[in-house]
Formats: sequence, C-alpha cells, structure tokens
Amino acid sequence: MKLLKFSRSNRTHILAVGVILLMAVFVVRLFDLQILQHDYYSSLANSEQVRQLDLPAKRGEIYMMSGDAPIKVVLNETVYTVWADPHVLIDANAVTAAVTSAVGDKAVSNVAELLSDTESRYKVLAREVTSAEANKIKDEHLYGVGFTAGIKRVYPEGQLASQVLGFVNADGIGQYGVEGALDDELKGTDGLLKTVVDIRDVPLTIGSSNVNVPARDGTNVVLSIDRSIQNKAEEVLQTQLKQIGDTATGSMIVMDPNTGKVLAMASYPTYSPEEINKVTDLAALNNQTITDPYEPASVLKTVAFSAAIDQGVIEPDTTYQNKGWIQVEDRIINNASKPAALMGEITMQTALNWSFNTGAVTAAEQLSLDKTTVDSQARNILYQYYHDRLHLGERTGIELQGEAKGTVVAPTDVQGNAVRYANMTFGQGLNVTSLQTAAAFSAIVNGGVYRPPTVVAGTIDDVGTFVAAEPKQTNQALSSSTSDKMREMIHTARQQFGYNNTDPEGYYIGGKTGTAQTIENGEYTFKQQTGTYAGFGGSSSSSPAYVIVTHVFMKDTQLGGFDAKTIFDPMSNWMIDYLKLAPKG
Amino acid sequence: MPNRRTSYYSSRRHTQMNRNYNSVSYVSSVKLGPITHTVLVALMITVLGLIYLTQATKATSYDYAASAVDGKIAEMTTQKGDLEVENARLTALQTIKQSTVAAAMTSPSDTTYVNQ
Amino acid sequence: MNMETLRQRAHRPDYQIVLYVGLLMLLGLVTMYAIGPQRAQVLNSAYGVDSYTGTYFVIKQATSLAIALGAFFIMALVPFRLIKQYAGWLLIAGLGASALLLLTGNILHIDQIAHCTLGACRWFELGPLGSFQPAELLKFGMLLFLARMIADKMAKGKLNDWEESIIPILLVTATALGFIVIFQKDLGTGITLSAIVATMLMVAGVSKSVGLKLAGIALGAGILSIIVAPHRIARVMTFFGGSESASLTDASGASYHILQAKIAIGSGSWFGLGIGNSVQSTGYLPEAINDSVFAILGEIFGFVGLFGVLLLFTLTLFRILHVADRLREPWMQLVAAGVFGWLASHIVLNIASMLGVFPLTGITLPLLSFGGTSMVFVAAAVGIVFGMSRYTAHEVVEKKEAEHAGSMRGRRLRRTRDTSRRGAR
Repeated sequence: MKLLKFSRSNRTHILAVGVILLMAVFVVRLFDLQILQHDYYSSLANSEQVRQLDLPAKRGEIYMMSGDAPIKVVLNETVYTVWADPHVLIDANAVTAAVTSAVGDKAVSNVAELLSDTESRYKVLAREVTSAEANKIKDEHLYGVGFTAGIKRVYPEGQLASQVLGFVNADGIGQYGVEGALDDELKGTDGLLKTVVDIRDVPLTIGSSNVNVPARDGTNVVLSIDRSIQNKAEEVLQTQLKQIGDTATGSMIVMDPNTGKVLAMASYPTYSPEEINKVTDLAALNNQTITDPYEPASVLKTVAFSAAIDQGVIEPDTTYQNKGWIQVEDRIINNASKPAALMGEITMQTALNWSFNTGAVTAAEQLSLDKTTVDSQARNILYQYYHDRLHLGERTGIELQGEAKGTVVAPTDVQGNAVRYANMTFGQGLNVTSLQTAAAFSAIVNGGVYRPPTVVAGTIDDVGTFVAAEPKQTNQALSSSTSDKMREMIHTARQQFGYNNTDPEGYYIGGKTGTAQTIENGEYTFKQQTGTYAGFGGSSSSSPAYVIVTHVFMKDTQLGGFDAKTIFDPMSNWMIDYLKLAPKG
Repeated sequence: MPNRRTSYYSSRRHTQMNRNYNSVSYVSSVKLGPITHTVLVALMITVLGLIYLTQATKATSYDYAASAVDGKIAEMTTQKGDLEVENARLTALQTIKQSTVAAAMTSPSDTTYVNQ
Repeated sequence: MNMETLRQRAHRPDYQIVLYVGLLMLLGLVTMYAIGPQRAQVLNSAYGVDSYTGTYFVIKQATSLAIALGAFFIMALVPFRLIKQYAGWLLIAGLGASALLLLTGNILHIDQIAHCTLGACRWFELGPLGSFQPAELLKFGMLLFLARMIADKMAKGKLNDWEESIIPILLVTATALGFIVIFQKDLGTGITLSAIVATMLMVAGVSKSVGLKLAGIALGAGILSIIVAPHRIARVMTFFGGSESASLTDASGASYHILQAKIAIGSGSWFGLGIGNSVQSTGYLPEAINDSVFAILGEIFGFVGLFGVLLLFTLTLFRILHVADRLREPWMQLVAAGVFGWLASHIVLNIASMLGVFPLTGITLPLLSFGGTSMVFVAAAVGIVFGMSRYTAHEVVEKKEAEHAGSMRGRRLRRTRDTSRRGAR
C-alpha cells in the first residue's frame, strides 16, 4: 500500500505507525463512548438537559355585580420572593441597603445577619414583594440576588363580603366561601412542560420527547352579590348591632325572590382577607347565614299557614277559639302574650299579627283527619311543605363552602311526634339556616316557586364576555293564589304594633318577626333569646322586589324579632331607593 | 379519438404515439465538459446543503426568540395585572367613600317618579 | 542543486492536501454555522448584552478561513529561498511579540492591549482586527528557524554533537518555552512546540542515546511545569481519579469539562443527533466552539462522523509525511516533519483530552476550532508543505542518498518527471 510506504531511515515510518496506533486507540475509545456506553451518557445528558417545568394555571378571578356590570373584587397579583445566594454574593452591604430601601417592612428583619452566612446557598430576604419593588432591586444589578415569582390574591374592596369570598391558603387551596366551594373551577388545571433546556433553563425544541401541555386557567366567577347592596348591608348590620349591644352578632341576607339570586350576604363579626393572619376569633370566618342553623321561631309560622292555605283547610279569615294556650298530647303550648281582648274567636290573620302559637298549631290541626290533633297525616303534609317543597333542613346547594344541613325531623322518625310538629309550626323544634329561611320565604312571597338560592350570576370567559349561569332547577312549592294570600297576610302582620311606621308611602312591604329561646347546656332558656326577621318589599302587592332576612344574637341577652327588625327597616328603605322602585299610589 | 384539427393524417395510419412528436431534435452547440459537470453538481449539492443547513439550524434561534417573547409576555401580563389591581383599588368603594369628591356629595332629598 | 533548478523542475503539487484541508475547514465552518447561535446566546446572557448575533461566529470563522487560505497559498507560492532566509526574523518577531505581551500584560497590566485571564496573558487585543496570539507566530518562527539550524548541523555531520548542535537547539527551544509555559502559562502550546522540535530532531536522525537523553529532559521539564502550577495538578488529578457524578453539579472544575465532552460524544451514538440538534453547545460544554469542538462534532455527527474526521486528519498527516519523505533538501524535509509534529500534537492532545484518555490541556483542534490566529498559522504551515509537494521525488528519498545528493542527480530528475506524469493522469 502506497500510503504506508515510508522511509525507515528517515524514521517517518515510526511517526506513521504512531499516528495509526493513536488513531486506532481513538476509534476504539470512540466506539466505547458512542456505542457501548451510549445509553449511560445519553441518560446523563437527559438528566442534565431535560427539565420538567410546571406551568401554573392562573386562578380565576372573582367579580361582583355593580348594578348591571361585573367588577373585579378578587384579583391576582404577581409578587416575588427575593432571595440571595450568600455563597456567591459580592457586595452584601449593597444588597442589604437595596432590599431594605426598596421593600421596607416586607424585608426580613435580619438581612445582614442572613447574608453573613456565606456557606448558605439560599436565604429569603423578603416575601410578597410587588413587581414595582422587585424592579427597584433588579435595577441595582446585584450579583447573587434572585427573584421567584408567585401569585397573591388581592382584595381591593377590603373586608367586603369576605365570608362570601373566602380566601386562598398558603398551599393555594381555596378555603371558605366561594373560594372553597368553587376551588376546582377557580384553580384551573396546571400545565406541564417537559423539555430540553439550555444551561439557563430556556426551553429548546430539540429532540422528540418534549411534552407541552398548556395550563388551563381557572374560571372567572361572577357573583350575584351586588357590591353596593353588600356594602350597605354590612354597614347597616354593623351599625344596628352596635346599637343592640357591643357583643351582639348577627347576619343579613338580601335576595331577589324572583330569581333566587343572593344580592347581599353579611355576617358580623367579619374580617379582612388581606389580614387573615390577624384573625383571632375564628368565628369571624364563618358565614353565619349558612353555617349556623338555629330556630327562627315565629317567622316559620308563615310556612305552617302556607301549608294549611295551600291544602285548602284554612283561609286568612278562618276563625278559631283562642284560649292563650293549646294542648298537644301531654304538652301545653302557650302563646307568648295573652291579651284579654283576644281571648275567644279570632282569625288566623290576627293570630299571625300577634304571633299566637295557638293559631299556627290550630292551622296544622286542620290538616289532620279529625281536625283536632297533629296526627300522622298532618305531620306528613307539614313535612312535605317544610322539607320537600320549601327545602328546610336540606342544604340549598349554594356555592359556598361549609353549608350546614340543619334538621327537620321527619314524621317517620321516633322524634317526629305530634309535639315536635306542633313546635315546628311556630318555628321551633327544628334547626335551619337563615339562608334556608330566606329561600323558603322567597318562595312564599314570589308566587309559590321555590328557587334554590345562588351567589353565582355567571362567568367571564377568556375574551371578557359575561356568560350567565344556567338557572337551577325550581319547583312550584305553593299555588300562586296561596302565595298571594300569604303576601297579604305577611303585609298585614307588619302593620301590627306600628312596625311599618318607617316604611315609605306607596310601597308594599311585609314582614314577620321571630323570637326563639336558645338551647344552653341542652335546655331551652328564656334568658338568652335570638331574633329573626323575614320581610319583603316592592312597588305593589303583586311584585315583591327583594326579600331580606336578618338574625341577631347576643350571649345571655333576650333579643327578639323586634331587634332583628331594626336591621331590616333601614335596609329595606335603602333597597327601595337603590332599586329605584316607583311607589304605587 | 380521431384528431379533427388536421386533415393530413388519418388516425388509422398514424398512431397517437407519433402524432405530436417533433421529427427534428435540437442539439445545443454548448458542450459541457466533465469538469464543468463536476463543478455544477458540486455547486448544486452545496446550495442544497446550505438550504438544509439554514433550515436545520434555525430552530434553536427561534427557540431563543420564542423564549425572549415569552419573557416579554410574562412581563406585560404582570404589568397588566398590576394596573388592573391598581385600578380596582382606586375604584373600590372604600377608596371612593374616603375621596374628597364623595365627601362633598349630598343625598337627594326627594325623588319623584314617573308613573306609567 | 540549487533552488532555481528546483523551481524549474516543479511538478503538479499534491492536491490531496488541499482537498483534506479544505474539507476540514468546510466542516469547521458548517459547525460554526450550526452552533454559532447557541454560543452567541450563551455569551449574551453571560454578559447581559445582545451584541453577539446568530451569525457572528460563522462570519468571523469565514473571515479567518479567507485569511488562512490566503496565508496557505502565499506560503505555497513564495520562494523557499525567502522563507529560509527570513526564518530567523520570524523567530525574532515571535519572541519579540511574546516579550511585548509579557511587558504589556504581566508587567504593565495594560488591559486594552493584553488580554489576561487568571494571570495568564496569551492574547493581544487589536480592536476591530480581533485578537492575536503571539505563541502561534513563535511556533511558526521556531519551526522554520530550527529546521534551518538542524539542517545546517546535519550538513556539517555534527547533529549528535552536544556542544555543537544539541545544546544550541535546546537553548533556542527553552527560550521559546520559557515565554509560553512560564509567562503565558500555556502548557498545551508548550507541548506542541516541543513536539515540533522533537519530530524534526527525530527525522533529522539524532542517535538513540541523544534521543533518549532529550526525552528524559523533556519529561523532567514537563513534570516540573505540572508540579509548580496548581491548576495543572488539578487537571492531572482529575484525570487519574474523581467521580463523574460529583462533577455534574460543579460547573467550575476540569472534571466537569471532560464529563460534558464525554456526554456530548456519548450521546451521538452511530450517526449523531443531526445538525441543529446539539444541546451540549447551549452552554453545558465549556469552550464548545474552540477547544471542545470535537465533542460537539461527536454529538452532531456521531461515531460515523468522528470516524470521518479522524480519517481526514490521518490522511492529512500521511500526505505531509509522504511529502517529507520525498523531499531531497534536508531543510525542506525538516520543515515538513515539523509541520507534521505541529498538526499531530494538536490533533492528538485535543482529541485525547476530549475522549478522557489524556489530561485536559486546552489547545485547539487544527482547522476545525474557532480561532483566527491558530487557523492562519496552521494553514500557513500546511501551505508551505503544499508548496514543497511540487518538488517531491517519485520514490522515498533515503537518508544516504540525500546526504550525497550530487551523485544521484540524473536519476532523480527522471523520476521527478514520472511523478509529474502520474499526477496528471
């Protein structure tokens, strides 16, 4: 072979052989590295070049209505965790100065001390730093300082509707309220990016095994809560509770009875979600209107009368003999007040006006076979109205976390005896939430249609268009004529005792008080009573525009329906103005 | 199908195959030598190679461009978010209530309604 | 026989040299084109600028190649008489440039002129003209000067005489090595320089005893130069031990560099990942476009591609040896042998360190690596060999014949004509 013909005397043959030998070594080594050990080096390459990055989905934002337009009340803000790598840091003093001057209180107190630990590779210097503040630090071009972006929920309206909204905990999970109930919809689905990256983690489209599943952002939820009504409700509730007593607590629901939409839902005490870590009394987190079932008492006489009228066994002007008490099996049930003038024959309307328990029990007795007892037929009918038709003692399915079920004992239950059902006619012996009361009351006054209450008006899609929520399944609980009669009865009941004296002229407003003894240590006590008021208002007798249910409670204090009414009255008047209801002559 | 355009030939005597063929072929006077041939082929391969190269290597440049754009999008989204938050804070009821304009407002003393 | 006669008797040069060199250069250019954008991105993000565009490196490489091709053909065409005549001046220029670098960099610390990293000043900054590495000029000067010097000693028949030839040759070599290894702290280039001298002495025909002694001296100097420099000890230690898993995380060490090179080569498999699919060049592998380009080639073109590259280098080296073997003038033969030594040492040291069979030395891969100065001088050196290939004899020129050139004149001229005819076929 010509190629290998080199001179022996010139020693070039030694060089040639040397080259061949070395090249042979190289080729063998290459074969070893590239073919035999390919899998090993390939896996090493994979482990350093392929990154799996989570693409966090953006949590849906929450809107409230402001009149007809949705406005944002819960937003996302990009915040940064500022950290340093003390090991590579060049100028610790400059970092300390820049961080403290840019972020102030958000910086940890001992920045300089943390930075002096030069063995450490990661020290957090400040959290929840806004992008403007972060940019101030970035502008200093400090070596060894890093920023990790995160998302923080912002509540521009402060404590407004905080118990309805709920909050997001440190793990990014919605808690309480809408955040808790609609967590799945709000959080969306995180995406996944598994890709080859360069040394700075910039994704490269090299290779065929890249996976890119884009994040699906959470749904933007629009609440039916009206910002102005909610604001007024909270204001009125707080003002009136302060009048009642320093430790008074309470709640208020404002609903549109014609749609089931909750317009306002206020509980006191309350809190500000941005200061969630300062909340000491966890009760403040609770939305009392859904979490605390209690006995709304006489307010539910409206349900008993509705049942009896709807069954055609009484009319508002049906009369009965009022003795001031009534015996049901072995129990004597007394009226709360026993004016002498009203002993003897009175109408059902009068019984409602004076809130006589005897009237409610008598109405229930009319449902029985013999018209004198609360027999099983009467109890079955009552249960049908209380539970099946008006959904008391059943979760309403509102889009809020922590809704309590309450209790309405079924007649099939051992506990569901005549005495219990007699008590139930005037709203005791059962446990319901004010939201259940408000929903049932709405059905009684709106023409008899039970509409499950809702706080969700709809969603906002990607392009910012409002999409209304699907209406929920309704049921005709009462005939519309029953509803008409009940509206009139409740309207008339409000006239009693001059309860209507703050109502503006020309409007049709009705309402019913309720005062219940509370159970303390398993016993009913008169020392501590709780008050409820359920009312409605509108331009004319046929068009109730709003339903308001208020509830007050104060430890060791006798409060009653009248106290609850003091909250209803200013709110009702304000609603007439706000809804621009025209008076009817 | 018989050709109706010409009357000189009948389809019976001439097959379709032959009809439109030129009887005289043109031969270029320019003869390409073997070297020119090689050079031309080499040039063509080079051009094709260059086209392939441009395509194959563009990907990573695009990756960096895409990454830069992604960064900008993220920055802009953050900015947009910040502005929205600022806007929401400024239009919040709390802010409006405390504003000097709101303080100077009075409630309407009477409202008249038009009855239809 | 004098030069003029030779020029008249010139035959067709060995175009294979141009073919192999051209292919290697083209491959280098393509590689620069393919990974230039990544390299630009790495530099841009490292310095927080965007001054490097995607085509920056391929354009610079193309410019370097144009200059290198110019140097190649100029050296091929320039009369050897002139080269031989001015060899001394070239050496002096190389030593002078090194001295100037020492003065401006190590002593005066003028950063605008001398480019220093970690106390090693290896480059002149020439502003828009780029940079210049005096060590390359010094190598070139040494090659030509020592070839003449050794040929002179050979002519006097005193090649193996210590006082007459070996010590003077060692002194010249030691001076150049002093600048390169001690002041520029560039052991790789030092080894290359020693390889050039060693190849020439070997081909010149030093006796075995002298050769062994010289090898001993070189080994001693090499060990000494490693012992005095901590980073060299680290590299050697890395080579002889050190776990690979630990080096993935520590991006500073020599073991990281070698491991990344092995990952690049290893992930290539038979046919490589393909052009545009190199990931190691996006910042994982240090010096991806210069010293580590072999590893990137392995990633892109795989075993088959690297085999081709090795084949091209082998063929180039063999053509140079082929030419050296057939030159009659001892000086010319020594120049060709020196060029062989130069190229071979670069190729072997670079590839061996990339394959993890030799400690990392940090020298370029000739004709493929990015880098102007090295490219231009390697091209110039190979250009000289190409020029000389016009004067080769058909048969191997044995030493005895070369020493008694006069008596063989007639036969050789005839043979030369044969060679010429064969080449034109």
